[in-house]
Amino acid sequence: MAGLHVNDAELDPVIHVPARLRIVVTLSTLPDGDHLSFSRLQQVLGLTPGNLITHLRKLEETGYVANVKSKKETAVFLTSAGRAALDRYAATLRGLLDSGNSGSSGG
Amino acid sequence: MADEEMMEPDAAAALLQQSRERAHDALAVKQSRLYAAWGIAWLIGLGAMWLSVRGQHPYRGPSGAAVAILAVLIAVAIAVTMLWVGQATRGVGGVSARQGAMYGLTWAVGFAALFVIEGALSHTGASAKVMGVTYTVGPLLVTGLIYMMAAAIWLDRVMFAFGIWLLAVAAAGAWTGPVGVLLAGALAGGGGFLVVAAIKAWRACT
Repeated sequence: MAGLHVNDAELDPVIHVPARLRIVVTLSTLPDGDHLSFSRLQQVLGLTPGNLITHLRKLEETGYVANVKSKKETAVFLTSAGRAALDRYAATLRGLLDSGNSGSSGG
Repeated sequence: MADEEMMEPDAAAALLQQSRERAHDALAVKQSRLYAAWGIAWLIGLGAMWLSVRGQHPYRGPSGAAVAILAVLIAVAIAVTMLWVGQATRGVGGVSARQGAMYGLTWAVGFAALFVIEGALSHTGASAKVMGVTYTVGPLLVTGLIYMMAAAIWLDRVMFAFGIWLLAVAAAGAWTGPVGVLLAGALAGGGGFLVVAAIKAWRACT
C-alpha cells in the first residue's frame, strides 16, 4: 500500500451511491454531443421521477451532469468533468479490488 | 434511505458493469437484427423474382406475384427498421440524432430519385431486359454508396466493406443480364446482408 495516494483510494462520494452510479454510467454510454430525455433516462433506470430528480440535482451541483431544455422536455448529458470523474471512479475501484485480492491471496 | 447506503467496492464494480450493459442494451440499435431483416427481404424477394423469370425465352419480366412478394418484404423490412431504431433512440437527442435524421432522409431521397429515373428510362424506350437489369442493380448501387458514406460517419469497417461488396455485386451482376442479376442480387446481395448480420451478432457478444 506504500505507493497508494490517499486521493486515489477514496471513491468519489458523489458517484459512489447506487442510483447516481447508474445514472452516470448510463449517460456515459452516449457519445459526446448527445443527450437523453428525462423520461427515457427514467425508463432505462426504472427510478421514480422524484428520486431521479433528487440525484440529478446533486450531479448537476457537482458539475458532472448538465441539462438542455427544449419546448418538449428536459434532457441531460454527462459533462466532460462527469466523464473524467467516472473514469477516475472506475480506476479507483479497480485499484481497491486489486489490492484487496492480492492481500487476501497472501501476496 | 436505501439509495444512500454505501456499497462495498465489489458490489459497486458489479453495479457499474451491469448498468453499462443495460444502458447499451436499451440505447444501442441492434444492428445484427436490421441486417438480418434486410437480408431475408432481399434473399427471398429477389429469389422469387428470379424463379419467375429464369425459364423465360424470350425474357418478358417478373410475374406480378413475384413483384408483390418483394414489395411486401421490403415494406416489412422498412417497418421493422423504423420500429427498432425508434425504440432504441427514443429520447436520445443531439449530434447522433441529427446524423441519424440526415442518414434516414438520404435513403428516402436516394430511392425516390432512383425510382423517378427508372420511370424515365422506361418512358424513353428502354427494353424489358435493360429495365430488368436496372431494377436490380439500382437499389444495390444506392445502398452500397450509402453504406460506404455512412460507415465514414460511424467509423464502421464492416459496413464500409459491405458497401464495397454491394457495389461489386451491382457492377458484376449488371453483366449477367436481367435473369442472372436477380440471382446475384438474391445470393450475393441478400446473402451478404445475412453474413454481416452474423458478424455483427458475433461482435456484439464478444
